Amino acid sequence: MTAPGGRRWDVIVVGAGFAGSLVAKVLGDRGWRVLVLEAGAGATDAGPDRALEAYRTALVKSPNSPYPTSPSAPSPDVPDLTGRPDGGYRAHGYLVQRGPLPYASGYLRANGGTGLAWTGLAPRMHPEDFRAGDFGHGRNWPIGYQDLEPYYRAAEHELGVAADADEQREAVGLPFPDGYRFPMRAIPRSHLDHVMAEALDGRSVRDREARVRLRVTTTPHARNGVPDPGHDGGAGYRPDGGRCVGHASCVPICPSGAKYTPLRTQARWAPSVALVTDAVVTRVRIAANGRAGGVDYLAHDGRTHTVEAELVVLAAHAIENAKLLLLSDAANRSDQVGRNLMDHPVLLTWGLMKHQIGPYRGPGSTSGLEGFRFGPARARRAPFRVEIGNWGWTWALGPPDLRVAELLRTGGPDGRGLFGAELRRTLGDRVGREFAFQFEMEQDADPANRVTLDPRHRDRLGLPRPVVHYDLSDWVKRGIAAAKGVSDQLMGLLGAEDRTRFEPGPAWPGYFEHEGRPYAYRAAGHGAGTHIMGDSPATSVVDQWQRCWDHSNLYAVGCGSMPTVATSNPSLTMAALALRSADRMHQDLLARHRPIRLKRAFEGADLP
Amino acid sequence: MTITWERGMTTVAEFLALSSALTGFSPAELRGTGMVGAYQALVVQQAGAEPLDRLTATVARGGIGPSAFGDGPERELAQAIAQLWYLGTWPGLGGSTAPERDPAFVVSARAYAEGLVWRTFGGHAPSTAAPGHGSWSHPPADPA
Ligand SMILES: Cc1cc2nc3c(=O)[nH]c(=O)nc-3n(C[C@H](O)[C@H](O)[C@H](O)COP(=O)(O)OP(=O)(O)OC[C@H]3O[C@@H](n4cnc5c(N)ncnc54)[C@H](O)[C@@H]3O)c2cc1C
Ligand code: SF4
Repeated sequence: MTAPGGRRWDVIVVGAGFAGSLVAKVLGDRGWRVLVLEAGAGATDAGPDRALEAYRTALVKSPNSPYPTSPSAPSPDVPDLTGRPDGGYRAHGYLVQRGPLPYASGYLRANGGTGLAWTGLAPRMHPEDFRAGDFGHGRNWPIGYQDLEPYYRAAEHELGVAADADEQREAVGLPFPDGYRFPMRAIPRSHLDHVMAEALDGRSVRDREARVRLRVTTTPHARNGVPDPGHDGGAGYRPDGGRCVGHASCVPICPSGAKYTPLRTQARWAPSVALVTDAVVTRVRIAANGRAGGVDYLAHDGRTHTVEAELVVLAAHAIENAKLLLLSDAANRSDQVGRNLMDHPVLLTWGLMKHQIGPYRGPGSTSGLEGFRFGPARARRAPFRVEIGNWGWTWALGPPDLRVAELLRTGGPDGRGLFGAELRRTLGDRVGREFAFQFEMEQDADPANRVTLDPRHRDRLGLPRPVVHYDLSDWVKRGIAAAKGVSDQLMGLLGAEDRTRFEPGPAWPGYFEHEGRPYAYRAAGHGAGTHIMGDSPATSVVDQWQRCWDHSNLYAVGCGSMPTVATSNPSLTMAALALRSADRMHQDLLARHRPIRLKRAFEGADLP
Repeated sequence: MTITWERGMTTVAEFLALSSALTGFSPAELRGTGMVGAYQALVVQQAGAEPLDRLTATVARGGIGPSAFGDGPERELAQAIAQLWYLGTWPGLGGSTAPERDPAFVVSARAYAEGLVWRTFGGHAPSTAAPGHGSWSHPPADPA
C-alpha cells in the first residue's frame, strides 16, 4: 500500500465499519482513490480462529467479547452497566452516562465495526415509517420509500439477503417491483416459529380498542441460505462465505462465515481503496472557505498525521460521528449535532412452553409478528416489532449457566441444591422449554437525548469521552406498556408459563416504573439520530444525501443520519442510504475531477 | 484414562464415580467428553487434594443430596464440580485468596463445548456444532 501521507486522496473515509466499507466499495469501483482510516486493530490480524477461541473462553459472552479492541479506541459493551438495588444504574465503561435512564447499547471499534458482532437481521423500513412526523411523534424524512427502493435492492444484493418477497409484500405491506426476488430464499423458520404459528396465526390480540391480527412472518436475514436462481432477473446469486448451518452464535460471531460482515465488502474493494488500521481520527480540518480539507489521525506510532482529500466521509458510528463533529467544531449551525440520540429499547418477556421446543438452535430470531409496527395506534404509543427469540432466555436473563448455578445452589425440595439425576432431568425439562419475545420499540427523536463532550473525562489518547444523556419519552413508555399487554395475551394463547418479572437490581440497569407498574428494557445496539437528516439547515445536520449542510464536501453516514429509527433493525436502511449517498459523492467528485480509471481510458485512446 | 494421582487418595475411577453422582451422567458419558483428567487436575489444583478426598468419601457413603454435605466448603465443592461438568466453568471457591479478582473462569474452549447442560435438552453450546442448514426447523432431538 502507498503511504497515506504525502499525497492527496480523492476521498477519506473515517471508519471501516458497515457504512464506511460500503461507501469505499462504491467509490473504489468508480475508480476513485479512497483512503479508509480505521481506529480499531485489524480484525483479521488475530484471525477468525483467535476470535472464536476468545468467545468460547469468555466468561461473559458479550457482543464485543471475541474481538480484539485497541486500548486507544475503547468501545462500550453491555457489561458496562449495572442496576442499583433500589432502581437507577451505574455506568463504568467508556461512555459517561448522565441521563435518568441508561443508553444501554454497545458498539465495536475494530476493523469491520459493529457489523462483526451484529445479529444479521435485515428487514426494510415500511413506507409509513418515512412519515412518522405525520403521526405526531418524531420527524418526517426528506425522502420517501420510493427514493430508497432501488438502493434497498442494491443493499440486499451487496449484503446477500435471504427473504421471501411475496411474504414481505403480504405480511408487512412492502412494495417491491414486479417479479423481485431476493438473492437467497428465506431462512427456514425455527421449530419454535412453527409452534407459535400454529397457536397464533389468524388469532388476534387487543391493543386498547383495536384488535391486531397475528401472523408469524419470516424475517429477512443477511446470512447465507439457498441462493435463488431467479434473483437479478435470472442471473442468480453466488454467496461468499458458507451457508448458515446453525451454529447459533451469530451474535457475536459466526463460525461458518454465513453472516454478512463488512469484511466481506472489504474483500471486494477495488485496488484503489487503501485501508489503514490503528488510525484514530481526531478531527476534521475545516478550511476558511467552509470546505473540509482533510483529517488528523493518531497512528500506531503515537504520532499525529494529517491527510488531505477532495471529500471527507465520516462513518465512525452514530456516537463517534457526533464526537468527531463536536471535536472539529463542524456542521453545527442547527445545534443538532449529537442530539436526537435514538435506539431500540427492547422489552423482553420470557416463559416456558408446554413442550420441548429446542431452543439455542439456529439464528437468534427467524420470525416475528409485524402487525404492531403501523397504523393509527402509533399516534398514541410507540410502535414495535416483535421478534420471536430462538435462544431461550439468553438475552432476558443470561445463558443457561445461570439456571445451572441457581439449581445447584437453591434448587431441590429443601432449597439447598439439586444434584445428580434430578438435576439433569430438571435442567433438560426447563431449559428445553425456554423461549422469549423481543419487542423492539421505536424511539422518537428528542433533542434532549444527546451526546456531548466533557473535557474532564478523557480516553487514553487524551480525547474527551462521549457523555450521554438518555431517557425514554412517555410515548415510548406507553409503547412498552402496550407491548407487555400484548405479551400477556400471547402467553395466554400459547398456553405458556409466563416467567417475566422485572425488579431493580444489578441485572436490570434499564429498570423503571410507569403508571405504578414495573418494567425494564435492554437495548438492541441501534444507535441513531446524532447527525440527523432533514430538509432544512436550521433544523438538521445533514441533507437527504447525508452531506453536512455547512460543509459541501463533508458527509456523515450511518444510522446517525436517520430522522426516525422506525421499528425495523436499521442496518439495511443505513446500507441503502450509504449506497445512495455514494452515488451522490461520485457526482460531487466528477464535478471537480475525473477518476483514475476514466483518465486511463482517455490516455489509452491514443494507443494503437 | 492415563492419569493417576499420587498426591491425593482419589483415583480417576473414584473421581468419575463422584462426578457421575453429582451430575447424573454415567461414568461412560463423562469419559466420552474427554475432560476427566483435566477436570480432576483442576479440582486438585483449585481446592486441594484433601477436600476432594473427603467429598469422595462422603459421596461413596451414598450421600449426594445437599443434606449429605455439611454446610460450607464441602457442599460448595460439590456444587463447583457439578458446575465444572455442566458448563466447563470453574466458579471459584469462597476461600479464594484474591477476592478482588473474579475467581471464576472458563476452563478451555473444549470444556465450554463439552458442557453437559446443552445435552440435557439435546442441544449444543453455541458456536460448537454445525447441525446443518434448516436443522433448527425440526423438533428437537431427544436429550442425550
Ligand atoms: C449486538 C448487536 C446486534 C445488532 N444486530 C443488528 C441486526 O440484527 N440488524 C441490524 O440492522 N442492526 C443490528 N445492529 C446494529 C448494527 O451493528 C449497526 O447499525 C451498524 O454496525 C452501524 O454501522 P456504522 O458503520 O454506522 O458503525 P460501525 O459498524 O460501528 O462502524 C464504525 C467504524 O468506525 C470506526 N471508528 C470509530 N471511531 C473512529 C475514529 N475516531 N477514527 C477512525 N475510525 C473510527 C470503528 O472502529 C468502526 O470500525 C446490532 C448491533 C449490536 C451491537
Ligand atoms: S446460526 Fe450459526 S451459521 Fe447461521 S449465521 Fe448464526 S452463527 Fe452463522
